[in-house]
Amino acid sequence: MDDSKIIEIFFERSEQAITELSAKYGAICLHVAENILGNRQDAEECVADAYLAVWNTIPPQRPELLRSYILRIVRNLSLKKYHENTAQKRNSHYDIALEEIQDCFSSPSSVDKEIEAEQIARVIDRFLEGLDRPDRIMFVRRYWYGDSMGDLAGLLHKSRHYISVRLSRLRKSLKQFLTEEGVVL
Amino acid sequence: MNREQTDKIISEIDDKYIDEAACITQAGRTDADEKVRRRSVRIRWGIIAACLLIAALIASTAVACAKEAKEYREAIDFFNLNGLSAEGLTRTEVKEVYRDISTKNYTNSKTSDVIMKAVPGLELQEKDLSPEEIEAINWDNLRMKVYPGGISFRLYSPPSGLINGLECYKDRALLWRTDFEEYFILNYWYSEDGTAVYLHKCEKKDGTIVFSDDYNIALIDNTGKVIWNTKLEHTYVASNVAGILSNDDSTWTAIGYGVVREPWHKYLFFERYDANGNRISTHQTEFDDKGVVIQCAARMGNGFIISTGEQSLTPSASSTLLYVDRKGNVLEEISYETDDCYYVITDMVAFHGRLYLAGNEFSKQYLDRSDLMEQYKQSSSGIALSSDEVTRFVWEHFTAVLLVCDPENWQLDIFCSVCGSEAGLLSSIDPDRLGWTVERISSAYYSPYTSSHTFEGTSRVIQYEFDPRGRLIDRKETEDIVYFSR
Repeated sequence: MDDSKIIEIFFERSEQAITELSAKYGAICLHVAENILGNRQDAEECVADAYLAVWNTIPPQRPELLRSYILRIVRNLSLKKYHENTAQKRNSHYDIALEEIQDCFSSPSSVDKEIEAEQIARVIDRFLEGLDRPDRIMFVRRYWYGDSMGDLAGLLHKSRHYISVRLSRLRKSLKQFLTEEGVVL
Repeated sequence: MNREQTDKIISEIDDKYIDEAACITQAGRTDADEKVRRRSVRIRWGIIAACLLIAALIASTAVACAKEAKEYREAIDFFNLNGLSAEGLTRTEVKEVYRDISTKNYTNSKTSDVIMKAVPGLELQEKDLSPEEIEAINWDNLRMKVYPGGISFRLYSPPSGLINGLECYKDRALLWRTDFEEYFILNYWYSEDGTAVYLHKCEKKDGTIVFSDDYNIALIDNTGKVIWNTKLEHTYVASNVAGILSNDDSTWTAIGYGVVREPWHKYLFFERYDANGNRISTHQTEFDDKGVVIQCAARMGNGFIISTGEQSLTPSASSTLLYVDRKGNVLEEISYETDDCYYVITDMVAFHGRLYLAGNEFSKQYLDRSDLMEQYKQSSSGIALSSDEVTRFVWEHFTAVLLVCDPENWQLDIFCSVCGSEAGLLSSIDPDRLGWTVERISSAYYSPYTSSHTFEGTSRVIQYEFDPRGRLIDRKETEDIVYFSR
């Protein structure tokens, strides 16, 4: 079903909307949640909570991109749950990905310490804009979706080695870009 | 910056990029997907050829379906992501090609066209030879080296048992034959400028062949005439020439390694010879890795690229490539390995700004000899393995690969591969055509009585051709057969 049609059903307050949303985006939502939480049961709970959140926010909201709207909610709920579970050993795909990229932001300059996350994210958006599409997708899948190297190798039909080298170069480029933009020293 | 702040930054990435990345797949992945799918696409030549008619029928009777738009969008995403060109394809063909590749069920002739033009990491699949074809192989006419473009060589031995004659063929017709009566031929390298030969001097004394300490290099022109034959003036206690390369200015460079003792040192050497075979310069660089030899060498830009590694038929590491300037200074060092395999380079050529490397993939599983022998025992009674068993095993474990390297960043990646085969030679057939010969293993048998190898047999030579952009443009099954041992 078309996204706009699903949103219409939400506006009609029909529970069929959640069924349609789940049928269309359930798998990828679960994938993102599981990448972050490393636990199927928690992931399923987060996805269910996300459906409820969508039900509660549409209407009044009418998202332009329904997929990224639901994914963002799933991700935020998963991260929240993940932080609640900090006592657990950190070993999810997302942890590993986060550790990789953390280094890019490791030295906020004294001048720009006040730059908010959102502003840095806009710089990252500009960085992403300048990338080739496959590189951009690889980057976002790794660091936003928390996909494993194996997932990416399968998705992009490349070797794990290729993905690893490519991501390493992308991080290096990002760090340089952030430095040039005055975000990090 | 701490983890939470990093989280927060990454979380704020724009929706459009999140959405773009989501459209690649909407399915969650299972553990099985963790396995690296190193090569994406298989071409079954026979099936593709046989299905041309079916494809035409499918095209003529195709009907629109409800999921058309969605499938088309997915197909276009797939094309874009993988650098495939949809140029010249109808909407229906785009979807069919996408479906073919996704399901690995090749029914559309356009699929091979699209894949052949673009996909790096392409896995080419050759058909197995029939028992009749294997039976028809003429063992007396085996070639030693088959170059792209139909040039092949055969060493022949006189009754003395020494290899001291070289025959050059074009499309299996003898072009020339050259004897080196006082030399044993150790190796040779063909190029458009001539064939360079590496020789070990010997003589017959009282009916016995006696080798001297002298080694020579010689140049044969394209009619078989020896242009020059020069003794190598080395002081090494042991040495080996791994390549004699034309410099395109009528000079030649011999590249090899030599060993000195007390103290022990190994050196890479680079010796340049003029058009008359006079040595005009020599350079050497320390190269002290014990057990490591030069596997092959090629000219690249203003320097040379050298593949080094183990001499063993069962290596424990991938080749290491050294990019050196004309004085032997190492400027770059690169290697390629995956979780499952080592890669040993056997030939290299620079073509339109990129370096292409032919080599063999060594499955680490295969290299575990004890495990391998266990498999043998389980699959047959003792070591009396049938040729069929060995051939099937070899087809499963041996893969020829073509790697490509962009000298801008020295990134090395698999360009295409052919299962059940060994890599042959690479060379430019003409300025716009790169040729690669692949030795498709036709038959193999277990050879327990040889100390240096376990399998031997024969391989049929297949030739692939690529255009300057690296697109596969032709494939030819030659009639050349080469000897195989591993």
